[in-house]
Amino acid sequence: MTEPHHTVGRTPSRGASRRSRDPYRNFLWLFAAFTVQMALLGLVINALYIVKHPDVESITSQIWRDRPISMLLFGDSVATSIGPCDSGRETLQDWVQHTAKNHPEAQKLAQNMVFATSASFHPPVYNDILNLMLSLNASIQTVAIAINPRSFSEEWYSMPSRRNELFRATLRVKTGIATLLDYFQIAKYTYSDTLNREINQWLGERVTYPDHPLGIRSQFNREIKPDLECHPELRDKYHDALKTKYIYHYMYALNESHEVLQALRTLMGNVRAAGARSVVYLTPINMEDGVALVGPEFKQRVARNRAVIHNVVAREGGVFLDWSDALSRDRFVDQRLAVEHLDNAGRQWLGEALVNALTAPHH
Amino acid sequence: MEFNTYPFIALFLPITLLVYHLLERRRPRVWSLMWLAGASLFFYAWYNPANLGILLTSIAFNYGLGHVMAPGRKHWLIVGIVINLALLAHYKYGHFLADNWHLAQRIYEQVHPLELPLAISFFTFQQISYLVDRYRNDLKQPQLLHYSLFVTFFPHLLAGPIVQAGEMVAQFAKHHGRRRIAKDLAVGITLFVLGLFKKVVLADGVATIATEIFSAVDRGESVHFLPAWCGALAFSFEIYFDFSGYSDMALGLARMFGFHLPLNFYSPYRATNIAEFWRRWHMTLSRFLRHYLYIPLGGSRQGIAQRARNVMLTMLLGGLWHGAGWTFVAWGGLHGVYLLIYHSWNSFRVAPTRPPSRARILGNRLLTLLAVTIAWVFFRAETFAGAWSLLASMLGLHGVWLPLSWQGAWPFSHPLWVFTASFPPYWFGPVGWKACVWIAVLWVGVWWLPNSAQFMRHTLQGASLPPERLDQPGRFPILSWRPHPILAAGLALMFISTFVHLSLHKNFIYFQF
Repeated sequence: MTEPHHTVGRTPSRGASRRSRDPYRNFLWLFAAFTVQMALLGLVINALYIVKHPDVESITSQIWRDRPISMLLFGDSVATSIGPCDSGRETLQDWVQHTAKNHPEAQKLAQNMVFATSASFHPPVYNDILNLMLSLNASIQTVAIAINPRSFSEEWYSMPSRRNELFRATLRVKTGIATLLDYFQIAKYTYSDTLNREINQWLGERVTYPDHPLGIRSQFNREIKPDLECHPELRDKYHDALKTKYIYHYMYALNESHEVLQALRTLMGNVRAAGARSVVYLTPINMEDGVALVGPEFKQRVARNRAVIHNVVAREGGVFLDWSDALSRDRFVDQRLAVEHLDNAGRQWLGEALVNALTAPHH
Repeated sequence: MEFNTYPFIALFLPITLLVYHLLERRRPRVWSLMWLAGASLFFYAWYNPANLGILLTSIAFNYGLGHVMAPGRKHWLIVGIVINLALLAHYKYGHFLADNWHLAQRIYEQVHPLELPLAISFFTFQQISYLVDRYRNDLKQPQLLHYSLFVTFFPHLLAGPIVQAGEMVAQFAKHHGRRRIAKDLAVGITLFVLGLFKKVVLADGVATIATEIFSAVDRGESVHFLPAWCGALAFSFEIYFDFSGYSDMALGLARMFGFHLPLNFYSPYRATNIAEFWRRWHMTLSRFLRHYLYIPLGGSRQGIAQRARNVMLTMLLGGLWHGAGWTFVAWGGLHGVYLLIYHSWNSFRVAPTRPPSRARILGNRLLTLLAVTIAWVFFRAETFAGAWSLLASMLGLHGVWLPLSWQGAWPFSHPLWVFTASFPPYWFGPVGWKACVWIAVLWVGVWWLPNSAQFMRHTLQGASLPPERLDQPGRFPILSWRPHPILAAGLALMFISTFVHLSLHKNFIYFQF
């Protein structure tokens, strides 16, 4: 007579038993599991503690939950001192604060200002920062949005480095609103040469503007030697190269479907939804040199593009300030780049104009 | 596609491995081998598909020749060797010969080198060894698939080990069975990750120091005593970890597929004499040169003069194999001289009756390492002027920084002795003291930590095992690999810390040969 079988629970299959006994198989599983865990842990540690982004540090140091903000001032490279021949190092923020302190109407404004400025910011980035502040329940009264006319040129918005992916992902991580993708993004841009590869690919592409077939970026957008940096009188030496740059930077044909303009509309919509007002100002460009190098059509094209921006801002209910033709050529530095970077006096003028405009009764 | 790149690690290797093992389980073996041969050709063609033609032609030619080869048919062997060497000479040495001819004729026109088909030095030598083995009747004619895989198997294709047909073909012909897959993968992955770490973290890390110093001397700048030694030693450790890392990765990759490649590297800087160094460094190249050049030339059997000639010829050709340049010839020649000195010393001295003391072993190791480091200067420098300049710096002929407090007490007065108050920072010159500490740490590891073969000793088989005369079993009982969770975690950490640095990858030094 045979003993009856007593089975408690499930008997492990032969395969499962062999698997659990095989130390090499266990080793492989453990290796895979540890690798995945360490990779994820590494991504988080890297994003939270290793990667330091100065723009993120600057913004996160100014905001906290429920902060009342009288003015949120967005800005790009025009707000900072970049060129080596600049007469002073004060930023737009310094001049705004300085002016506001001495301005009876603006003293209240000066108390709760937040400055979100960096070299390559533009409306899509402004939008991220605004959303972050709104998620922290900030109450904002006024948002001043600097619009650099060059930011609509394809030289600006299509350049891979100006997508600011690392900044945007780091900002989300450091403020706790990130997704897993942001952690991967940070690791990718920190440890790989993705950005350089993208820029090299971008430089090899061809660009065509209306009436100006510019050619391949790396060829026409070549660097002008630094001697022009502090010697604008040498501009004739680089006449052709500078002319091409002015065309490339400012003579695009803007229409309302442009992605930067769309981002500006979204931004202004968000500002309005937050109960704040938008003040959009076009930063000065070197109109004198543009006209001298390209001809009167430079001014005409800039005016046409400016009208498109104006229409959009007006439709979104914002205040539009046009300072694109406000400064003479002497106020511009970084001549070899043919851009709108201002010298210290230029930034002082802009700071004062901004404070005056924001406190003006009709605004 | 190098082993230390994302496409290789993240795509090529997992796909090749997965399909190989699936085919191995479910289809006759010929399928998995065909897949492996196809993947290896794809791996080779990744760099330059045009080179695939040269590789396939070379395989077809040598296989055909091996087919008609029989003992005693020496003319076929000569034809085979001449054509193989002619191919190598055409691509690798053509411009070198032409340049030197122009120089001799005072024609000032530089000949531009042809693009070197990748791994041509390796697959040419392997196929010559196959022809000789066929001629000596040491090897039966293999199947075409096995032969093709012997030449193209990607773990050894680009930079060795230089395998012999016999040791690979037998493995291709034998089916592994299922049971060993987990062990092979565990051992293979461990070796691969160890190698990757050596290459990416250690070799590439120390390479920056070597590059700084060698670039300076090649530009015509002179460096001081300590930075010169730091630079020279940095290159010694760079090439050590580069090649050691590559060899571990090759062995590990082959093992993932169930194959055992011969050991190629066994702590050469622990050698106590130069002959032992060559038994430990690039072991399969040394084996090739010994079996197919040194011994056929007569080896050491025909008297001292003949032996000296054979040694010098072997080492000069070995140097030239590494690159078409006089600095490589000088490197090989210097090693030849070292070997002659060593053999002469051995023939004159009285054989010791007692085993050498620890201090003596350490002294011999140090002397060997210094001799090797001096020879590496010729290997690494772009020009002779750079090499001489660095050697002069290593002798102190370009100055030595000394502390200011020594100024009065120092008995010598010479412009080369530069006294400075900022002693420590200046002492080490442009590379800095941290670099020299880093080199010292690597040195300690190289001398006193177990090498990969010792660490993995219980898992290695066949040709992968270290030779008996060099093996030191039982010295590192704690540091020996076993499938343990702590080692799995350590390996994962090593892999992740290496993986994030792959984007900054540098080529393996031996890839250029």
